[in-house]
This record gives sequence, C-alpha cells and structure tokens, in this order.
Amino acid sequence: MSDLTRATVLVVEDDEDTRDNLCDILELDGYRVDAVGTMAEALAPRDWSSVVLAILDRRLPDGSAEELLPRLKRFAPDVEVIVATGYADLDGAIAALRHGAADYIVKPINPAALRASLQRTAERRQLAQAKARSEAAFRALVEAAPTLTIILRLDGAILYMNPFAERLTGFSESEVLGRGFDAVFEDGEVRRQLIEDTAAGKSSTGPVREFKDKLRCKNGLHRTIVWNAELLPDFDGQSAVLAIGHDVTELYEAQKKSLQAERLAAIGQMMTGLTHESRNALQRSKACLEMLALEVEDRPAALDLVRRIENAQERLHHLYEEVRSYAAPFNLKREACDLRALWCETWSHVLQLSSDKHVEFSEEIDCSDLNCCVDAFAIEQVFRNILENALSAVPADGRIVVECKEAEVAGRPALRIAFRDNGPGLSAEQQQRIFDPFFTTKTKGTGLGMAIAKRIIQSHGGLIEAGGHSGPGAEIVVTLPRGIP
Amino acid sequence: MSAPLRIAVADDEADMRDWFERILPTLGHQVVSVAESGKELVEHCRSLKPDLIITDIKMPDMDGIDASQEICSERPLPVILVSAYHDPELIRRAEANHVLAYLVKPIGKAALEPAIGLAMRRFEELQALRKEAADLRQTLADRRIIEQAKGVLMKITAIDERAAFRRLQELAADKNQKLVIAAQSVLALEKTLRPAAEN
Repeated sequence: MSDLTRATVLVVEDDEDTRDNLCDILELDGYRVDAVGTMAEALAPRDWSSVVLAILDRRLPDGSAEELLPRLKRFAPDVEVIVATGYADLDGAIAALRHGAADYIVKPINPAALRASLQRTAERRQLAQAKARSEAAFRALVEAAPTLTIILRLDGAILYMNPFAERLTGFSESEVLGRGFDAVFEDGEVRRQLIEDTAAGKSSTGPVREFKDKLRCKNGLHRTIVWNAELLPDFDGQSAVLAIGHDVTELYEAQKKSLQAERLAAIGQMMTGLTHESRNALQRSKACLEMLALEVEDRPAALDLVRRIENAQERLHHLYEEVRSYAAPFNLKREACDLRALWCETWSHVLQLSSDKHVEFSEEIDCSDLNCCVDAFAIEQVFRNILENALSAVPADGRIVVECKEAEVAGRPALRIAFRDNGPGLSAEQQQRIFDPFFTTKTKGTGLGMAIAKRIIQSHGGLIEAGGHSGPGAEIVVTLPRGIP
Repeated sequence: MSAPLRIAVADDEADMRDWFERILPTLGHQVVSVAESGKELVEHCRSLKPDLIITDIKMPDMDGIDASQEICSERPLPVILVSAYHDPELIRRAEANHVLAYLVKPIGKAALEPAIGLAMRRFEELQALRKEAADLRQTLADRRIIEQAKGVLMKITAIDERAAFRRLQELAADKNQKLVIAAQSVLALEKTLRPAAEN
C-alpha cells in the first residue's frame, strides 16, 4: 500500500456524511484527500500528476460514475478508480468496472472494506507498473540491440523493425510497416527461408538457424546477414515470425581478405623458391655461354650471338629478381636513420648511371630533425626507384628537387618527402597506375620498381602518392611515420 | 691479373665444374682440384694444399661452409662462396667463418676475377695481421722475462736498472744469445740458488 500513501486521493461524493467518513478513514491512513461533491468539481483543473486514486460515488448530482470515468482518465490516464455504490445498485457497479474502474465498495462505508479495496487496487497498480517496466525494458533492449530485429506476418508483411535495422538498411520503420518483405528488400529467398521454414513448423529441422544471405539496402548496396528466426505464436493476436539478423559483412570481407593475403603470401614464397632455382639455371647457362664464347673466339658472328643470348639472360635474371623482391615476404630491420643522408647517398649512386645529363639536384628542407626509424636498405631502394625514374624523365638540363617537411600519418608524427622533376610529368592515367605491378613507361623497365616502392612504404606504415602539385613535371610524395626510435 | 694461384673448386653442377676448369686458366690460375661434394673438397685440400677455395654452398653430404671450416681449422685458407641462396642464416654462418667473398649466382668471369683478387689481398692482409699480433704477443712475453731478470740482477749484485740491463746485454753477447734467452738463464739460475740461500 506504500505505493498509494502520501499520494492524493480524489473523493467525489455528494453525500456529506459519507464524504466526511471517507476523508476521515483516508487521512487516518496517511493519504492526502481532495474531496468534492460533483462531477463538474471533479473535472476542474488541478495537479493531476499527484492524483493516483479516485473514489467516485456511483450517482452524482450532475452525472454517473460511468460518465465521469472516461473523462477523468483523459486527464489522468494512470489513475485507479474505485466506485462507491449502494446495495441496490450492484448492476451499476459492474457497469463501472466495465468502464475501467479497478474495484467497488458498498455503502455505507465500512473502513475494513475500504482498506481491503485500497489494498487490492495498490496490488493491481503495482502489477501493472511492473508489467509496463518489464515491457519497456524489453523494448529498450530490442531497440538498442546491434542486431537486425524484424517481425513479419506470415504473409510477409513487416510488422516491426528495430532502429538498428533502420540504420543498416536505410529504410525507416514507417516506410516499410505493413509492406511485404519481398517488395521492400526485393528478395524472395530470404523471406521464404525466414517465414516458410519457420512457420511451416518443420519440427524436424526446427526454426531457421544461421541462414546466411545478402540483403539489399535502400542505397542498392548489399550487406551479408546471418539470420535466425523464431515463430511467435501470439504477436498482438496473430502468428508472426521474429527474425534476428547479424550483419557479418565486415567479418566476411575480412575473412576473404585474409584468404587473399594467405594466397599472396604463398605465391610470394613460391616466387622466392622459383627465383633461387632460376638463379641456378641461369648460372649454368651463363657458364656454358662463357665457355661457348671461348670456343668460337675466332668467329665474330657467333660471338655476337653469344653476347645477345647473354643480354637476354641478363634481362631474364633482372626480371626474376624484381618479381622476387616484389612478391617475397620481407622482414624490415628498422633503426633510426637520417633520411637526408640516405637520399643524398642514393642520388650519388643513381647519378653514376647517367653521365650524359647535367642535372641540378636541390633540396628544400623545412624541418630540423630528419631522423626516421626505417629499414635503410629498403628505403634506399624506394629512393633509388624514384630518382632513377626522375633522372630518366628529365631533359639534358634537368632539375630534381627534394622537399622535406613535418607531417602526420594516422595521427602519428611523420616526414613528408616530395621528389619533383622538370620532365614531361605524369598523365592522369599514369598517376593512377604508376604503382601497379608491370606498369611502365620505359622501354627497358620491368614495371615493378614503383610497385615495390609502394609495398616497402606501406609496410613502414607510410604513404606514397603520385602527382598532386600544380607545376610541370612529375612529383612523387612519400610520407613516412617517424616510428619508434 | 693477380699472381697465378692453385685453386680448389667445388660445385655439384657439372656445368659449373666445367666452367671453373675452363675459365680460371684464362685468368692465369691453375685448377688443382675439382670436387662434387663437400667431403671430396676436404680430402682434396688435405693432399693438394691449394692457395684458394671457390665453393658452392648447397652440395650433397657436406655443404661448402662446413667443408671450408674443416679445411681452415687445419690450415687457414681464403674461401670464396658462390651460391644461388643468400638467406640470413647462410650469411650469418659465412660471416662466422673464413669466408672472404660471397657471390650470388648467376656470376660470370667478370665477377670472379675481382673477387679472387680482393679475396687474396684481404687474406694476405689478414695473415700479416695475424703474424703481427703473434709477434706482439711474443715481444710482450719476452719483455716480461727480461724485466724479471733485470730485477734479479739488481737484487743480487746491488746495481741500478741501467747497469743491470747492460749486464744482461753483455751476458747475451758473450754467449751469442738473444736477450730473452740470457734473461731466462738468469731466472733459472736464481731459481736454483734460491732454496740454498734460504737454508
């Protein structure tokens, strides 16, 4: 009864004695009482939020309890109503109960009977509140759950869809409610699985478990969903199917990617083995060609052919080695290293290869610390590939500029190194494809140099991009995280 | 062209053995042994005492690194490895041994020639350094003995250090001995005299 005490009880009773009697009993029990004599007074403005109980006389001067009840409920929907009635009017009491009264008491008022009625009403109210709380909790659970929750009528019409399903599919509940699942998601198979198999009551197989299929969202993209379904025998009075879907799109993609990565790693290992074996074979043919050259020393035409085969072998060897360094798994040995020293050294090596060009090499450095934790050997290979490309692209009076400044990669401090030249530059297509394996603009390249460079930079957690600057000539930008020293 | 060398080669590929036999003479060298396996290389080197070993790594029964280690443990020799493989483990093992060059196949005469020259040069330097270190060690040991003998002479004859050293030099000159031998005689003499003096 604690629920009702200290709450306000509205007493509507025209008989003064009965009213006083009621008030005495209620006040004695600790209620605050608001007593009035007519229906008009009962409906007068008041603080309805504190009114939890009303005791209504069956017959009021300006109306009956049945008339007052619905109007009262409009102001205070949660109010519990007890109807007070005479012996002769039990029919009226029953009518009042039908209109939503919680209980009735018989006049003259017996305190014990009133207390018993109040007790019953309090219990009824507590039960109702507990049910409402439990329902609200379940509803909150369903609405908050990160799973697609859809309730379908057996004909496929959507009866309910939770907010997660709305976000995932892009359809709002209001636009799908009552529409057929097939029509909304353009998918008959999922509906068939969910409803027919569940509702058909295939007791042998049971309800649908872990059924995986794609679901078309509003934007036309598909998500991969794993469904479980359950038959609800009585959902608002009809049979329905509760379908719970887990979005496994990312998981599925990750699995596919990891399979792909495994495959690539296997190919890499195979390539390593293949190049080693090819080295032995190439070694033998090279050895034999050198011996053949000695045999035909006095025949210039034959010697020329030997040289040509040797060149072809060289090229084959070079190609194998490039493919190996692209495909083979490598272990980075990272240590603190001055990047400027690294590109300067690389430049001097590259320059030895092309003595016929006069190239001006300059640096624009806008940071004090050029140290980076990298695999010096691997990064030198990247710089060499970039600088070799630049050197072969620039005209006789070429210019190559290295620009270095502070940057960030994924929120970590990094160095941004841009290599620019005054060659013909890269077309949009070239910019896009320069890092693709076997893409080359040179007649003698393998087309793996920049692909290898990209792989090296990425394995350092860095970025490598082409183009982006407004001037003529090509630009390659490498961004390397400084890494752990 | 470096000085003519007597070279032992080993490779399990017949083409490679033929090539070594054919090409090394064009570089002015003599191939004294051609082995197909590590064990064979070890045996040949024992009897033929070559100046240089050029060997493949992966061979049946014993690999080139183990074979050259066994040979060099008996008598230091310069070793050039020629292999299609260059994984870190092999490089580490090569570094720990007498290997003076590591060539990755495929190689030609052009790669072999400077490798031989450099390996021989480094080996000579290494041997010279080894000898120098041994000489220095000996000098240091001799000096300690001479110092001790000087001390004994100073004590017995009550002369100063310079006089003691001169006396030691005179002793050596008289008997036409090295200074350290004279010093050793002094120490031996002192040792035989000591117990008598103490009795």
